[in-house]
Amino acid sequence: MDGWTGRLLRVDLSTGSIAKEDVPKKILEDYIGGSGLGAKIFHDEVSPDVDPLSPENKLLIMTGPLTGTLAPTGGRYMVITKSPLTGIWLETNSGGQWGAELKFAGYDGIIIEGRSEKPVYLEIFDGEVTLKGASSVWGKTLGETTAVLKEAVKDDDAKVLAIGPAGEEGVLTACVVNELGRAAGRGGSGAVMGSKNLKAIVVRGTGSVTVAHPKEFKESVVKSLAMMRENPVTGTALYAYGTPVLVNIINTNGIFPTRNFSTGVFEGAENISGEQMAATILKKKTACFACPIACGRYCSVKAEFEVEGEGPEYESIWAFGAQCGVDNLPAITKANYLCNEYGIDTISMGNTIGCAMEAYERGLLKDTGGLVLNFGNTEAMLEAVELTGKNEGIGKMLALGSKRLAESVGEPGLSMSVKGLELPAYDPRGVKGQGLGYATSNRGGCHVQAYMISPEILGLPEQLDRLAIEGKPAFVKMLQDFVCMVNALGMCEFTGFALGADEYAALLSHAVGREYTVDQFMEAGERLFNLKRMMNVAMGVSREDDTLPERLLTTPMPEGPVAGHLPETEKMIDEYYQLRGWNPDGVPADEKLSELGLLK
Amino acid sequence: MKHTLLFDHGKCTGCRMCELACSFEHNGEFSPARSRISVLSLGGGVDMPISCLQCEDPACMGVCSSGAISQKDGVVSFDAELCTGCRLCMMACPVGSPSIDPVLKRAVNCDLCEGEPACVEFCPFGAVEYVPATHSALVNKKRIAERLSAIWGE
Repeated sequence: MDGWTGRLLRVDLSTGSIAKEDVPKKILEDYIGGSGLGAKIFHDEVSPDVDPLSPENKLLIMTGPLTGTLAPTGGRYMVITKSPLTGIWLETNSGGQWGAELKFAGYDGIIIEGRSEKPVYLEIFDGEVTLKGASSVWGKTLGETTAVLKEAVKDDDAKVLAIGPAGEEGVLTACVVNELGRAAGRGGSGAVMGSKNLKAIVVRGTGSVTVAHPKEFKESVVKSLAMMRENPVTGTALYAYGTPVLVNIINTNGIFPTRNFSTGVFEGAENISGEQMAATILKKKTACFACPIACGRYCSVKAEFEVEGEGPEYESIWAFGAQCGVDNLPAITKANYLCNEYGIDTISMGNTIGCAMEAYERGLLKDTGGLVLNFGNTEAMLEAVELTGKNEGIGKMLALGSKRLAESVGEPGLSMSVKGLELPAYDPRGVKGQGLGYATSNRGGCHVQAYMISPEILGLPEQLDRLAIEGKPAFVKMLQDFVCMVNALGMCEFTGFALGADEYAALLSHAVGREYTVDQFMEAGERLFNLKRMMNVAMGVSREDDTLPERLLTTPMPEGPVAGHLPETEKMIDEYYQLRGWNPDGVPADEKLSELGLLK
Repeated sequence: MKHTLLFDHGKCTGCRMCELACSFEHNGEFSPARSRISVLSLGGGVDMPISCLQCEDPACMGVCSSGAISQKDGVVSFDAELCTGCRLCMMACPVGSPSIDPVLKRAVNCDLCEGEPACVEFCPFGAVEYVPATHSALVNKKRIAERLSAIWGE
């Protein structure tokens, strides 16, 4: 098969059985791969009311048809499961090398089910797949785990994906990390993996990925690469300053959420900017597999917060920076590193600490075990991350995320989350399309399912008035369908700054040997988005969940260039539902499901 | 004029597009295991592309007992028909360039793609260059001089 390997691994940890399964071509063509194929399998195999941390929940790790090819950024994998943090659909993806290595070993993905009696790890060496005891690495950080397992496999080219102590301990914001510094970060997939007693997946692949039309595929790659080179974001800015290039841009626009979203202007932004990073702690620019952008930052900090490793990127800088009132870049770098070592989502961690800081300053959170959780206290912030990673002391409360934390102190409104997932680094009061994107993302408070910052701030592919609501529902819908496809292909969303549906459709068509017109490409994306929504509806999501935190909806931005503005999300929801073909409760109507081939 | 590849680990980001381009050019498929150029990720943020340096007096050719390795127009050339897969060339090469192709089971090596190396074409960062053999030494001297002047400048 071209593009796809057409083969999945199914690992039942309860019985120890390992099976290789072929996937019907029609299923691949309709659901593409990545989180699309993952959605189809999850929908068909897992009950919507499954307890996320029970053996009955499944953890899918999927690549796409372009993973392992020369398609720009074709190296990603997606983790699919029911989130223990939000109780709904979760897809979360990562770059680095691991996804491509799995493809070269001969698999489009892995279905992990059941629960092992004892800690184990999975070792994949091409066709040889074995479960091995993980007692030597259980309890160990990502750095130690990766080193020990690479030594055990005796192949320096093997790639390690693992959870840290946080995932083992059931921290609800625990993530899956590959090659030390790349994470499928959001929604607690690490806790699901930990609940299955699965510590790691080591993979080495020496096979190949073929494409159906080599000459045309190469031409599409060359064209796409040229477009990315000429684009100011993918060709210049992200290479020069990494994602932290956004710190000054977003702060200048007055939407850099500060001290738990109390304002959108952070006085210390300059100190934690991409420019500051380049001038002080940056050691090396790094790229994921097959990526011509190289937004990765390998940083080295000496003295007080001595640390060296991958990151921090923009969201992490915000989470441990403005959100916690911290303008110390070395301290933020340390916090990011600790998250990578313990295996915790940086966005949810920093956001939750910011929430705890507000609760502490307002006298609502008293029992912190002596931790002085004032905004700006870097030592307390770092201690909070360590305690969360170990699930000890106040960390036990932080490990549950901001929603449960805010509820437990009697002030649910303090949680800056949507559907239980902590919001990222853009205040929706000054980017109204992004607000709608947050409210309607299938995994909850997340920016990447519809990155409206691109048109609303960066002017790509066109400049939209960020404070207007006219036309935004249609744009959000289009981006959501589009991103469903990028995450199905195995590419990075950053390519979307430069490429359009034409380019992706051509790459896909020439890879798998079946023509996708742009319309068919976008329709496939719409199918995937609706399939995920159907699962969410079955898991209890309805109109009342498609909203933003009360604070953002009702408190106008207090200062800066968007002072006085509100997100106006509720004014856009009805139009959005109509465009989606959903009923007023946000449930996909039969006509739409039938049109997309999703009606049983 | 003899040309060689020239590598700059300072520019390499570890994206491995050179490996994909190489296997695609030579085998029509994407397979880092079949690539004749490899990116060594050594930790600490160091990534180093490495391939054949086209020695003037190739050690691989000297140890080859089956006559599979020759030099044509300054390019070290491997003949899969004659190769026995004994791996002596891999041991002899000072940079470990030759490798056993996992499909052919015979030694393969960079052939500079008849003067248009695919790895150079697809490297987005200019970390792999195709330069006149005499030029490569000058470039390296200049790089070292720049690094030294940066140190002395502090």
